[in-house]
Amino acid sequence: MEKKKILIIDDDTVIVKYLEKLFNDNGYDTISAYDGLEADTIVKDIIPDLITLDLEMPKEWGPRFYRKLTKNKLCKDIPVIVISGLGSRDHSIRKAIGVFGKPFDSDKLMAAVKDAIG
Amino acid sequence: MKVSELKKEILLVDDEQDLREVLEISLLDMGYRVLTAENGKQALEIFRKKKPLIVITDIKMPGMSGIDLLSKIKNINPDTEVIIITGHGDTDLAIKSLKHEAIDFITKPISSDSLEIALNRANDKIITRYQLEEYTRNLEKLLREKLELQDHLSSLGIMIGSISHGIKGLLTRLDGGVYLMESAYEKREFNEVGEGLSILKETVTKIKKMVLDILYSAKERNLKVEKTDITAFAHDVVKVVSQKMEKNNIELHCDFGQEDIEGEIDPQVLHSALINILDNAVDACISDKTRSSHKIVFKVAQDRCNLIFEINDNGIGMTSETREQIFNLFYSSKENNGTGFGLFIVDSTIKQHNGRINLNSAIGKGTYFHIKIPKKHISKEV
Repeated sequence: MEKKKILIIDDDTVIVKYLEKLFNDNGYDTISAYDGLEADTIVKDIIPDLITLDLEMPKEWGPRFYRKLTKNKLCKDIPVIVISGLGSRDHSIRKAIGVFGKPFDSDKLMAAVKDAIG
Repeated sequence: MKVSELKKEILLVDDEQDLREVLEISLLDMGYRVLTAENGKQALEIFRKKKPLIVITDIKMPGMSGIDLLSKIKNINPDTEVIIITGHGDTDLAIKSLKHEAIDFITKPISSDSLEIALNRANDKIITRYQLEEYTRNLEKLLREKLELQDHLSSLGIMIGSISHGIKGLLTRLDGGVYLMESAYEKREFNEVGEGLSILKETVTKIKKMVLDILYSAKERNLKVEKTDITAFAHDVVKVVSQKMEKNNIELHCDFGQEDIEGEIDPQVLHSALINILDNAVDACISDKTRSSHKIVFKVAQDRCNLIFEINDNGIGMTSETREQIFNLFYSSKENNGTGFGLFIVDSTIKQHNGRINLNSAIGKGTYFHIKIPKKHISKEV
């Protein structure tokens, strides 16, 4: 069976590396974007199974990317997990299946991911 | 100025000399200083020069009438109170004078009672107006203070928010480094252990710097000013950064002049401020990939009253937007690598020294910092 693919969006390269490693170790494929604009380009070609989204990023921040995502028919149902230093729900990612503040608990994050996409 | 200090000066205008003299004596008795004029023209001249708060004028005078004088005076200073002297039965004129905003009128023959009543009325009005002005001034002052406080609070809020956001990111990086190490260690992938370790090291250094910067900026430090040999001081500064420059192949050119330079500075804080700028210059050179060789010029000089420090690099340079914000707290042009404290603290340090810092910068050309600090320190601290 093909591995499930997670799109990681965060402007901090170290945190991206951490999430890549964490997801790879748990049997997922990853693809990474360092801001919303990069992520926009990626979802045009690849439909990930899940997205982790940082909110505060240069160029295009999380909520804006999310709004675009929900307008895209192919992508609007992709589960989104917010991982952000802001760590609250009031940033209009209304349908996020999970919101994690930084620093996050990696066990809980993995549980949420498994719960969503197996 | 207190109400009691308002000047008690009256300009008395009447064409009849007898009446002037009698009234002047009464007014002097009441404790006023008296200026006198025998016609409107002369009265206006005196009024313009002495600016009395109260004018008493006869209504019927040859040349300029009392009413004309009244309206001219009100034109020059609407806050002047004018008392009109009317003849017996001049009710119409008296009413007309009130319409022109005379405070009161008194009829001839003048009794000291009616004079006193009219003067009291004028004084009451002047005092009330003065108090009102003072209230307004106080209110404006309060409002200004409130706005300043609001500014302080909101920048404090921004500061706390931005610190906590920064720290959260750094803590996540620590988790990441630890995870990478553990994961690689389990799989016996030792080069990846090294990667985790270098992330940890780098993050710990950043946290350390951030904590120290926060502690530093939180503390209102009083300067410890001492007479300092500036040339030796500059050599000390250079020692700290020269290694990093050598390592990155950046040429350092020091120009400290021929003569001895002495000045009253706090060597410790100014030391860190200059290192901060030099360190930024080094970073700017490292970031610039367009040139193969880089050079930083550090110049120390003096004029009659000031110490002058100049730092010039041919690194990456700044946009005008960056240039404008560079001294703001938490502004960093170095994305994840800056804390946004450095130049904010530099700016405060120079200001504490009563000095000035200026910069010129352009993308691709480099950056030039110019610092001027008075040789003699005058303490503003209480």
